Amino acid sequence: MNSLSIKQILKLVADNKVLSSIFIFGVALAITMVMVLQIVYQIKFGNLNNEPYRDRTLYMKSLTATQIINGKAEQSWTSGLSAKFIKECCFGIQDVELVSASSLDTKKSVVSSNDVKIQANYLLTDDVFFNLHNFIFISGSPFSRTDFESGIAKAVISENTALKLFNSVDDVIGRSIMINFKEFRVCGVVQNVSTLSSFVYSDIWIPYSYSNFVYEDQVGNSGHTSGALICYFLAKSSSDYNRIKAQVESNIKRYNAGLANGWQISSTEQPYNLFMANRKESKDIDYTSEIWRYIMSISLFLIIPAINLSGLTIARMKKRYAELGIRKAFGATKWTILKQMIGENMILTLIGGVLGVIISYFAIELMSGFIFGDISYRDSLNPSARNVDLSMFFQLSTFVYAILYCVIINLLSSIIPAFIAARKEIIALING
Amino acid sequence: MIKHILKLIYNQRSANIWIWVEMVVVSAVLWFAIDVLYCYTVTYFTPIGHDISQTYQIIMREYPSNMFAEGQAPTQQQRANNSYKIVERIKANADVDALAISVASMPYSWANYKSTIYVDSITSSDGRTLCVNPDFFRVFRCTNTSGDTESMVNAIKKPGAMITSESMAQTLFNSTSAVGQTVYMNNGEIQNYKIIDEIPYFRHTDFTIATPFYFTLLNENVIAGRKGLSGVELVVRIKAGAEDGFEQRFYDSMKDMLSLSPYYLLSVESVSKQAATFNAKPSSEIKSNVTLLLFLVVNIFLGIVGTFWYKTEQRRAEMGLRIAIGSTPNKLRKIMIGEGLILLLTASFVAMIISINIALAQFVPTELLPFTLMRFVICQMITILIMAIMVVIGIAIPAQITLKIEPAVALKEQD
Repeated sequence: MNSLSIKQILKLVADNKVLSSIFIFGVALAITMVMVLQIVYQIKFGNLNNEPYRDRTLYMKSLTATQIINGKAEQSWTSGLSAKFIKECCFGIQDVELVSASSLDTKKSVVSSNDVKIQANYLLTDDVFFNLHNFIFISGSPFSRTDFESGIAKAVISENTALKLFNSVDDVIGRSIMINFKEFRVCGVVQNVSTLSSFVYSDIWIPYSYSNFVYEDQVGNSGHTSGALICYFLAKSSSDYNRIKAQVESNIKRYNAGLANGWQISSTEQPYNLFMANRKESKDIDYTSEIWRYIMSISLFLIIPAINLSGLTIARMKKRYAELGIRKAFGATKWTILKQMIGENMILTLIGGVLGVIISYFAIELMSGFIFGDISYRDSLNPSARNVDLSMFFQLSTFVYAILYCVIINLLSSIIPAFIAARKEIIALING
Repeated sequence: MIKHILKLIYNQRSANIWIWVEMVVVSAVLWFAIDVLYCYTVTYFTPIGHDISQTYQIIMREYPSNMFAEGQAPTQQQRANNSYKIVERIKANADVDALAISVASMPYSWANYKSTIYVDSITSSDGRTLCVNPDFFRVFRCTNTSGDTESMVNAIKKPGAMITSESMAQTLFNSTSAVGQTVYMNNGEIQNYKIIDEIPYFRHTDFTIATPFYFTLLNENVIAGRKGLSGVELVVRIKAGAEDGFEQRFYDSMKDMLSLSPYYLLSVESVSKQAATFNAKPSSEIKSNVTLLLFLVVNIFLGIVGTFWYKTEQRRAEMGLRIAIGSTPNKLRKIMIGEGLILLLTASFVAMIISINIALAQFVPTELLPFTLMRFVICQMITILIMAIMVVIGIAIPAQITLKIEPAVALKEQD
């Protein structure tokens, strides 16, 4: 394609202002929808700035304990993991870079400094959690391995919490705060985490090893198997998933051998990837059908406009049948005509695509509550915590996808009209 | 006229085929989105049976037992006394009108107990157990079948009293009036109850369907027991006009007064806010269907404007000729809109066949409403109506602009 044909295309656009603008707007709308869907998908299941390893992380968030007496399951319940279970079954696994754990949910609590009393969410976690996720420390540092192992009452707090408690983020390190009436020392202040980062978000992060805590039974420091923790495994590569799963399984088998009274633990397919871990209820649809839902909605958003655009393309082309007839008369092959038609259409599609990407950017910026309001299941006490990390919008992959969708929509909307035009006899074309 | 329009459509079939195909696809998908929205709308507008405006949940927690030094932990007697004191203090707050105490019963709570109620060993019904104090009815403004609240407040106080839902009475006694009948529960031992009133509705959330339920009296001693105050739901209705900043005001003024060992005040939350988190999942589905609906509507609109723009441009000469021999622009517009509507009608027919097959293959949601002919007809009619509006507007715009021409000019444009 040379500059002459681009000039020609622009001329054609100017000649058919209405049809071309409808075409461009139609493409823009489709690309907007698909891009928003793409970003939602990315936030749900892709890597985020503060969760950079989601694609390599495995999650184990529940176990089922069953009491089997005389070969008959007497009772069973499903719950989170306990510290004891994690210590015995989740460490020492090959192919794993990091193992970390945190409480499954944040807990709302009363937090106070010298004279301010506020409500804030806290998350129980360990020191590795801060390596697995990307926290931006404004001051201080996370609690160390030794701190964690000795269960020292240290807390990492968010910028927002620091401002509420101390009216400042400087000079906060080492000061004491009361969380549910227990004294903690602030060891770090981090930038606020968005609630969209569903396993990371909190206002305060404290070690789950802290033995005196209100919810100690829930993290199972008291020696139970079940608790309220979730365990994260950072695999060296996602191809190691099955081997990691098998190792956890064999650890559980060993663990079961030591249990009394017929109790048996099973991990029900876990640890699994983020997609499975994100399901709110176990009866939710499975991975393949969810992927299919995405593919279906994306195709819907592309096919319906494509039918529309095909009609418009035919309309625009019909006006030029005479020109095509002459081209053919002078020796243009079917393939040349086809290439020309699809190429021209591509230019219009790309204009629409650029417009669509711009609109989707603003849509996400302005309607983030509408679009993302339902993704996070961690309830925030601070409405502004649902800020969307728009930097992902400027990733290369986003634009690659945008171009891919443009090409698809272009092919869908121009291939049939182009075939019709290319197949016509010269005489039919010249007659219009 | 219709015959004439049909001939026009046939003659321009190559220009019409795309818009027709689009009408079929969009109608079918649009119907699906409307069907989902219809289910939610109907459920939402079914009477809910309670009023949560101006209600707030008071959340009390307990200090962990290991927080107390040896011998400092409150005794059972102290716990009980403090529980009663806290309840009295909440009731005495100037803003508070009434205090509901309940177990797993307040609207928008996750907990849910169920029991079986028997008339005899053959006739029984499962129902949600709502265990409440008398003021519960005042706080949530529940009304019985005759629209009265106060009579229930008094009636539930009688020992062995039970208030059932109409649906439960229907299952148990095959009649909507079961007042005066006796029933029993069998939780290891048999407990007899007398039905003293009926409530038509008490739906758990905005988007759950009505299920059978029954109210029984909550023994207020439960707060003195092992469960204590942190195991029950405390919800207040506040006086009219006190909403502004109530949560903060109550928290600030009461946190010390309600801090009676082992309890402390964790937070005050408006029930409406809890309702919002409860509705997150349905509202997400509603949102995506509304978005889909808008997307479809805009697309069909663009398609129709584009197609008819092109067609009127192509037919300017014909239009000019028609005007020249006495047709009016109004009449021409009618012919064009008629063309669009007849196209839509044939497309809708095909779309309807697709829709019926989607429905018969059980791809439509039936958790909220069963799939009935009525539902299908209503949703199809809404679909066709929306499509028809788009067709009329989509044709009127290009027609308005292109028909402004003088007949002579239009005729001359023909090459």
